[in-house]
Amino acid sequence: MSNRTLPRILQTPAVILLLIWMLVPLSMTLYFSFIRYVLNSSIRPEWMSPSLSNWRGFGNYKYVLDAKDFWFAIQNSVFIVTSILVLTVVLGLGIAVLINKSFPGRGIVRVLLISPFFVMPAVNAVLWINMILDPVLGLQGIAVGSINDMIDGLRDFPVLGVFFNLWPTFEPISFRATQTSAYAVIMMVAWQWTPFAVLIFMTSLQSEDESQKEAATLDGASPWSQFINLTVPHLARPIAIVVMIQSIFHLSLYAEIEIVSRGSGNKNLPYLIGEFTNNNIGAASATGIFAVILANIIAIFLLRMVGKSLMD
Amino acid sequence: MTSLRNTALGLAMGIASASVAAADGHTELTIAIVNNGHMINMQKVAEAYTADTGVALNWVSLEEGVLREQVTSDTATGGGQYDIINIGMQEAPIWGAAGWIEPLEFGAEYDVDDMLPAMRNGLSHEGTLYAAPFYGESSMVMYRKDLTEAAGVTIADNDSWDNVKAAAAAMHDPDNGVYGACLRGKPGWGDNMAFVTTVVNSFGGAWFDADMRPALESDEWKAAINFYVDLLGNYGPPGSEGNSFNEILALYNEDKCGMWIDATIAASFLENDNVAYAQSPNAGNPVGANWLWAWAMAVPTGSPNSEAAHDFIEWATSKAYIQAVGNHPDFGWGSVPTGTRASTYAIPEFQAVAKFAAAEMAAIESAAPAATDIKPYVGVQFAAIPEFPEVGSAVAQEIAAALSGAKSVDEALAASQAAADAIMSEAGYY
Amino acid sequence: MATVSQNSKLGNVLWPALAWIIALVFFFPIFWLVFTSFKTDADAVKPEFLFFFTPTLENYTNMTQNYDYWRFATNSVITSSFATLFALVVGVPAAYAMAFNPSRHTKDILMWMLSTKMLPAAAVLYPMTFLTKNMLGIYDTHFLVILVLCLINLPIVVWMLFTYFKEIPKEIIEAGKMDGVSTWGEIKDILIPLAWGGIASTALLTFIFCWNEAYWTVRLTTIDAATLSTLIEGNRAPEGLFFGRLAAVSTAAVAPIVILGWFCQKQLVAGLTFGAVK
Repeated sequence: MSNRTLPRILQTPAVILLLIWMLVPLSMTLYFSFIRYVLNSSIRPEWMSPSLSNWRGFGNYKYVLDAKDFWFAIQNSVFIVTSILVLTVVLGLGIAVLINKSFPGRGIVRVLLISPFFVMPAVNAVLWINMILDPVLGLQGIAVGSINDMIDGLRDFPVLGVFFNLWPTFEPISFRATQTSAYAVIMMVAWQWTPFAVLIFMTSLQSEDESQKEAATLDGASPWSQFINLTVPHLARPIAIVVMIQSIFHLSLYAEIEIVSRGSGNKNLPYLIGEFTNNNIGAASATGIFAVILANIIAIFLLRMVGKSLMD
Repeated sequence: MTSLRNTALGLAMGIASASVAAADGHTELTIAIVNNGHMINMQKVAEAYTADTGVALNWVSLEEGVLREQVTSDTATGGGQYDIINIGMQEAPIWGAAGWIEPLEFGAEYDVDDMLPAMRNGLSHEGTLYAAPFYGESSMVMYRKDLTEAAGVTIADNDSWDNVKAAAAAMHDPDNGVYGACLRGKPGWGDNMAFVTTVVNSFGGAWFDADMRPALESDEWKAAINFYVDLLGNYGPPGSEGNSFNEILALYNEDKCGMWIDATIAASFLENDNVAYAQSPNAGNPVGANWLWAWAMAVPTGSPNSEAAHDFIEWATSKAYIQAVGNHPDFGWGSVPTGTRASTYAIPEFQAVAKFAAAEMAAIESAAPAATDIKPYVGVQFAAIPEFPEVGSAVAQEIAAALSGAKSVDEALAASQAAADAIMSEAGYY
Repeated sequence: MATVSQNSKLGNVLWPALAWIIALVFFFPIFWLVFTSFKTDADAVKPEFLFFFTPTLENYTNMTQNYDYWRFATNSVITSSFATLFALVVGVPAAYAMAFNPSRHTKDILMWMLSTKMLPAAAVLYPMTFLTKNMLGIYDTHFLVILVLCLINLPIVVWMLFTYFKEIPKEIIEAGKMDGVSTWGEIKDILIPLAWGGIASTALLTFIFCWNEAYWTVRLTTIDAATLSTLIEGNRAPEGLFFGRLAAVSTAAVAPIVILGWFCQKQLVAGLTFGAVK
């Protein structure tokens, strides 16, 4: 065997498996996206089985482009992914630097901090939206209720009461509402993925050149300028990796969106596809193709960013 | 390398085939259910059925939406995964018409005429029964008698909406954690839209006009939605746009609700002794605001165990099953599935424990699912057409947005109309 | 100089304290989940029993009575383990070839692999159901779940391993070649021992992703191969809002993986570099 063929053979199984995994379902989706295909129809029963005689050209695509939430889903998807990325990178950096030095109980702190990363997404959503954020029965509701009660009690106090009379009665926030559901999802996903960022940053920080830092300290550089001038550049690559891996996962958020608000005020393309899949497979498939295109556009950007330095 | 891979692959295949082999030898039924109290109880009661007949039962319980998605895709692709499926009144006639589920015929002992007519009609297509009701429900007002008395208000059967709102306002006391009216607000065609549609019905509105064009910007819809947003927005608990049956049940049992208009089945879960019932309000026309729903069992056409599945359904929806639950040491007469058979309501033990029975029966009997001059479709709080779930979910999100104040009622209805219109014209209605 | 030492003295207390507070805040929801699972459903929503209540195992006994918890859990263990194993078996040789014999296209192949991970699952759900049920007849088998879990994680596996292998000096592998060691020998005797940390953390991360996967595992199974995700899916919205019951089922579903994560966190940290360490 020559030097060339062996490597090829070794990577063939992986390539072929992924190629089949990608191409077979995708080509069926592509086919469905060009025909009329619904699961059930009482007035057009001929659309109920996939067939070339129901050819529709770009009709499904046009329908999807005009659908109520298509553009909103794209825009909202970018919004939630970006917000989660910013939150996790900022929090992850801060926490990683904080626990980089040794202190009493560091091992336990590390274990506690990374735990959210192991939790199933559906459990994460159910836990947050019900037990923590519910405006009446959850911790939020109970906390707001008891703060109000406390202030109420203090109002009757002499002198101090005047001060507390100025306080407003707090209203709990409903996180399932159209205006807030995206924030609820951002919050719970950021909680889950910040530990991932911490893990990656922590590993990289351990390889940071300590002698450089010591030299900087001797030169009188403040901890902040050390962080900005030495640590952050050192972490540029890990940040890129955190951004890339997380984008891959968050573009396809599903369970969290469903559980928080059933798509009210918060949607992405996978969720929109799910809504069409109830009946209109043609439209669901066309949306799927749009989602594939969008994913590839983002992939090209992200992978360029990381890929450049990958082969060095 | 290859040998390692083969071993591992063989192992995985072995596991797969082992689980198939277990199915041989005796009949095994796979039953897809929603995770509701009566279905959970059925799993235990049916242990006796397995002991008697030797038919093993596998239960798959899923969240309602996922169940529907799973069952639809299974049935539409020719089925085979499930022998018995839990479906509702919205699907039964449509799926029967499409040939996805088998017609059901039972022996004389089953006494099909004992089935409440509203249930039987709702689960039939052109006179053929396609799904047998496991439990049925309408909706009614449940309210705290102690609170109405303290506030000096009353709620009568088929009261006017104005009186209902006045009663809610009188009981509303958020500082002490009591909210006048707890109503569904969570988006979903079976969630907020079930209740909202009954309000619209009582205002004289309907989903579609005679040509099946959506009529969501009609005066009736505007009046009904304005009323709903006003009532729930002002006298409901915070976060109402996230509440459906489950959430409100918890609130009600925490004594946080003055009144609750919802499924009659809720009455059997209520813990407060001060509960009273009233028939749903209306807005001065003959159509009341009560709905009609049943969780029913059907046999998908692809089921390889069709005969055994029929037999099981015949047992699970029979008079004998009601007796079995009533006499079961773990359950008793307060837990029998109701709303399906007239004979259930005549059982003295049941009457003794179910204070809500008369109100429930009256509500079910007064529900009118058939097509009328006002609406060209079958169904009370839904339309029995395949496109309804899509239309209903789209509108549901708009109504939730109106409730939380993200949109005005007019904006929400305009967006609803546009979305519904697009779906209906896409489906080829016009 | 004095101020510096004072500062650092203060910092010695302040920063660890802050780290502890943040850690506790992050862990609190999980604590709350476990805590709630020992309350009855009625107590779980009552403010007066917020912290003090009579603990009960009722939710757990109900769960094991009403659902076949152990079947779901066994399926999760089987499918996640085998999927991880297969992903490594396919991924190690691929990453080895890419790291030590890169060609012009290696980078493109890697990037393409990763891009397959971005395809939305919902877009191919219906074709997948159709294919696996009607054409291949492998719906609801362990084999299918293992295959799918393996495939959706393969890109990450190859990429992680590739970045890890690249840090191993080429000379060591070359030396093996000179000595006439076969390719299989190179992988088994030289590469795997050297890259053990990276392989272990790749395996761990893959196992976690497999365990927590819910979209495909719920939608491609009914009974035989249903994993803990299905148990959660059936319980996340039962009739009535049962915080206690929900908390118990959730705890039972996530506890194995969280505990595994705790024990292996050192391994996980050690190898989780994604080539980020230079």
